[in-house]
Formats: sequence, structure tokens, C-alpha cells
Amino acid sequence: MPGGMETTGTEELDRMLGELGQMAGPIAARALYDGAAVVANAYASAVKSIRTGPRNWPGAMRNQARYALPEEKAALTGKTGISKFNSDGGPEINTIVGVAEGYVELHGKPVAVKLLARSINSGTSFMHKQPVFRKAQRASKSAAQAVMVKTADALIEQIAKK
Amino acid sequence: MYEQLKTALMALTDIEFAEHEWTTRPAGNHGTIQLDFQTNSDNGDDHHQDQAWEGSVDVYTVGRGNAVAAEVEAILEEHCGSAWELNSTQIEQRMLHREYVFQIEVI
Repeated sequence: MPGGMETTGTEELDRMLGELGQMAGPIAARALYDGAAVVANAYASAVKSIRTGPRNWPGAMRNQARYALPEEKAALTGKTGISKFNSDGGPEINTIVGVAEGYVELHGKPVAVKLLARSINSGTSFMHKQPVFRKAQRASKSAAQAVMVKTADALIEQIAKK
Repeated sequence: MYEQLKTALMALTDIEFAEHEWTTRPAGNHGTIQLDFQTNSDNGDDHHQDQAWEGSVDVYTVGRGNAVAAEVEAILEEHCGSAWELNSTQIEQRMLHREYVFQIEVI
């Protein structure tokens, strides 16, 4: 007759693993949100660093590209952040960090906020490029990853200690 | 590395390139190249971080300009390997504006 093996004391481990399995989605969502907040803060700072100038340069400089106008910079202020998470219950958790949807009133016309941000970030045929959003994204990547790991670790530890 | 990339772009005959900005933009195909900021690039093997620069190439073409864009992309591929991408496209004043971003060492 083959010998059997009985293990005892695994109830706690079973509970923890079961709870971790159920909480995996919310943990990932919380970590993603915290990481996205780091990038969103970097975007908000990026708006502050946008250089502004007059619409037309004087004299010999008149044909040169201009910088963003003060009112364009003001229109982007407060328009960066994190969009709502998708919550369809699927395995993927998505959010968007960046500039808001919608329009702002500029020069008497509605202008898409994303279009304005893109024009400043990438430049146009008449405006200097100021890649402040691209720079913010690159610079905050490592910090965002570190925050996500820290958040996930803390939440998993909470479950383990219950 | 950056200097070689710049030289190769400036040698193209179907498009005129300038570094940073044009004082007066040409009416035909034209572009700019510039270094934008210093960045850290991850070295996947040992998580060592290399200091590199991120720059951009802006290409303005009359019409679609696919042939010109292909020439620019071939040069980026040659000098930056896989460290480049088409970041945005936009129609501006009857020209197509492509913005490429790349990472490169500056020697």
C-alpha cells in the first residue's frame, strides 16, 4: 500500500492565495492609478514650463516661428490629468494620462485641447516645438514604475498580514 | 552619432534640412532636426542606464511625400537602429507634417 502524505497548517496559505487571486485586479488597478498620478503630475509641471511669446516678432524677426501665446498656455493649465479607468470587468485595465478631451475657447474659436497640446509639443509650421509633454513622459517613467511596485507590494503585504 | 545623422539628412536632395528652425521656410519639402533633451535609456541586460539624447526630425512635405519620408526613415534606421518612431502626423497649411523622435548618443 502506497504511503500517503498529509500536510497541516496550510489553511492560512490557502486563504491568502485565494484572497490574492480575488484582489489581483483591484491591486493592479490601484498600482496603475498611483503610477499614472506620477505621470499626470509631471504633465501638470510641463504646462508650467511652456515658454510663451508674442504672436508676431518685430522687425527682422517677423518671419520666425513664434512660441506659444500666453492665452494658449493658460488654456492648457488645469487640463492635464488621468481619465477614468475602464471598468468592464475584463482582464485589461486601461487609463489615459495626458490632456483632457474637449475644447477651449481661443481667439474666438473652439480649439481642441489635444490639438493645442500637440501643436506646442511637436511644433507647427509657425510655432516653435516645445516637447515638454514628451520630456515629462520620459522623465517620469521610472518614478511611476517604482510607485506602482511600491503600491502593489504594500497591498499584498496587507493581505498577507490579515 | 548625431552629427552623422544630421549630415546624412542634410545630404538628401528631395528635401532641404536645417538644424533647429528655419528663418524663412522653403515652399517645397523641408525639415528640421534637433536634440530635445537628455534622457536615460535602459540597458535591458543589466538594468544599467545609458545617458542618451532624445531628438526629433520634423518633415514637411508637399502632398503625401511618401518617398521622401521613406528616405528619412532609412537614415533614421541606419543611425538610430530601432530607437526611433513616427510620433505624430498633421496637415498644416497644405503640407503634411511628420514628426519623428529618436534616441541617440552624442559624441
